[in-house]
Formats: sequence, C-alpha cells, structure tokens
Amino acid sequence: MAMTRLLEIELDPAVLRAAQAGDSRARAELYRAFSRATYALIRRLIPRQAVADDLFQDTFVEVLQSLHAFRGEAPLGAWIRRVAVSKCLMHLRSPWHRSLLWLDQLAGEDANPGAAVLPVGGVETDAALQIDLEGALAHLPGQSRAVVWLYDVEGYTHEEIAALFGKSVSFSKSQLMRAHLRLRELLGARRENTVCMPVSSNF
Amino acid sequence: MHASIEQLLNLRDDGAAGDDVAAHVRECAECRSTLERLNLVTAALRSLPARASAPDRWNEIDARLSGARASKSAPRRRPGWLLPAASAALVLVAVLLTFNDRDAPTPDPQTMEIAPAENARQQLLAESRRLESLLAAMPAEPRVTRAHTAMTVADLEDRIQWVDYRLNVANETGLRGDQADLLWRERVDLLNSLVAVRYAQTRAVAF
Repeated sequence: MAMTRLLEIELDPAVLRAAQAGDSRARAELYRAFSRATYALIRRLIPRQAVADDLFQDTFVEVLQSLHAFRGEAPLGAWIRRVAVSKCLMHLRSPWHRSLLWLDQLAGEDANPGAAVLPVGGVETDAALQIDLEGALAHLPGQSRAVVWLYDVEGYTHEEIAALFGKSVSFSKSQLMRAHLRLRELLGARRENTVCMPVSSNF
Repeated sequence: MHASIEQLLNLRDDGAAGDDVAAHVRECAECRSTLERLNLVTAALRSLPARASAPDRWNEIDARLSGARASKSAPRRRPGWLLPAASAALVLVAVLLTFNDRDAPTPDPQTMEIAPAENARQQLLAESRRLESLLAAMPAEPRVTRAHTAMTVADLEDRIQWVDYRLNVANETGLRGDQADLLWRERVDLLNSLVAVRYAQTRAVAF
C-alpha cells in the first residue's frame, strides 16, 4: 500500500473557502482530509510518537490560524507539508531533541519500529526490504533521516533542504551520503543476521 | 578503485559524477550493483506504507484555535505592576539557577557545572565557552563546501552533541568527577577541531 502523499490530496474549493472564512465544519473537513498524510510525514521525520503527536497538533493549529493567507498558488498539501517539515526540522535542531537522542536509542518501540513488525516466516524480497528499511530508517540520526526522506521520497532539492536547515548545499549532500552509507550498513547487517539466526530470535 | 557513494548518488540524481565515473560504473559489476542497490532502497523508501494512523486531535486543535480567537478579541490591558513584577521574578529565577546549578533537571550543557570546585574543570569550562564564542563569531558556512569538509563538520557537531548529552544527564547516570573531567576535555578537543575546520573553510572561501 503506497503512502498517501500530501501533494496528491484535493479539497473541494468551496470547503477551502469556507474554512478560510472560519467555518468550523469546513475546518474539520480540511483537517480530516489532510491529517493522515501529514501525520505519516511527521512520523517519518520524528519517530518518537509523543513528540510527533505534538508537532502534528502544532502544524494544524498553525495551518488553520494562517489559512486566510493561503492564496492557492501552490497545492494546499504543499503548503501544509512546508509547515509540517518546518516544525519537524525546528524540533530536530532544538536542544530538547538533542537530549532525547540517547533515549531514542534505548526506546524499543519508537526507535525501532521494524523490530515490532518483523514477521517470523519467510517473506518476499521487496516486502522483506521494506520491513528491514523501517528499522534501519529509525536508526538513522535525525538530520540524516530527514534529509534522505525529504530528498528521496518527498522530492525536495538539495537547495531547498539546505534552505530549510539554514545550511549549505554540501551539508544536504553529505547528510544524504551518510544516510545511504548507514542504511547500507544496517541493511547489510540485518541480512547477515537473518542468514545466521532465525529471524524471530534475532529481533 | 570503485566509485564512492557520493559519486554514485551524483550519477543517480543528475549524472553530475563525470564521464570517467559513468564509464567506470558501466564496466564495473560491483559499482553497478551498488548503484542498483541505491535505486532499490530509494524505491523501497517511496513505497513504505504509512506507519500509523493519525491521532484524533481535532478537539484539541479546535480548542486551541478558539482560545486564540478569544484572547485576540478580548481587550488587552496590562496591569501597571506586571512589568516590575516580571523583572523581579526573572532576577529571582536567575539567582536560584546560579545557586542550584546541580539540581536543575535539564541543565544547559554550555553553562552546566557538575563540581565547580576544581580549578582544572573551571579552566575547561572557560575554554569551552571561549571556543563556542569563537564559533559563533565566525561567518556563516559558505554555500559551497567540499562534501568531505561538510561531513567532517557534521561528524564533529554530532560528537559534541553526544558529549553534551552525557554531561546533561550526569546527575541521573551518576557520572563521577573524573569521568566528567574527561568529557569536558573531550568537548574542548572537539571544539578545537571544529574551530580549525571552520577556520580552514573561511580561509578557503577568502582565497
């Protein structure tokens, strides 16, 4: 099942206008239309559920508070995505996030989602890679994970990522490289472990 | 000599790796396999399903929006005593923080003092602050930097963050004084390296 992408979601223009005018029912409809994809994106960037939930809420509060300023020059989903990504990156740069890094490594359920869903039996190659990738992605450092996700999945350019982080294009490129090197290590290690031991006992 | 991940990513994304790299990859089965693997991982990332369903936060969001509207429409009158009282409270908090540094639940690693009695530790703290100030005063990172330099900077920053974290949780983890000294020494060494790399970056741009 492919993830619902924010940019592909369309909202009835009448509902959007009503939401911009402050109609509560229209705002709720907008929230329902975009909440799933927005949350999926935030969880990819922020594996820690409690933090992701707060950022998700903050994102929609900001989106709805400034909805009157939305001019429709880009899809609404792109605008919501920009707000969500900006909030996530702000969190990743914060001292609060730094202090949680170590706890993230220790926290089993959030830091290693792949471990929780890894099946016991044999699986098809693509599905196995997806499952391994879930775990590997959660083990990347926050900034690397954000860069690889924004670049490889969301289609941001290195220039856009650099601007979002307030860093250079080289920073974005080096983070992407680090992410792929680390993913290769993690996926390789997992494959070796899978060969050597039964999957159920290893994860 | 095989193509690096950096070269393969450049080749994958915009073909900017150079003709020699492209030619090598065409001939080299191992590099082709690594490139295919990169493509496979990217494709798998794109097809990952959503991890969890969104929490239903509409009531909270609506309440916050209503609260914001109410506070906007309410007349704003600041009592005359509020500013002096706030200033006094700030001074009091600053004094309390100064005297209770070790009891703070999440102290700032840049200003934290675990056992401020030792002279050597004080020197390390002072040196750490001096280097932080030096870094802050440096011009922003140039827009174009060699990837390896950017990686080195990112590595150093990561390691400093990790040291900061361990110092931050010193009380909870029962870090001994000598262990804390080693961490502060490591922090100063890392900052020194970071200053050196950033200085070299600045010089490279200047020329």
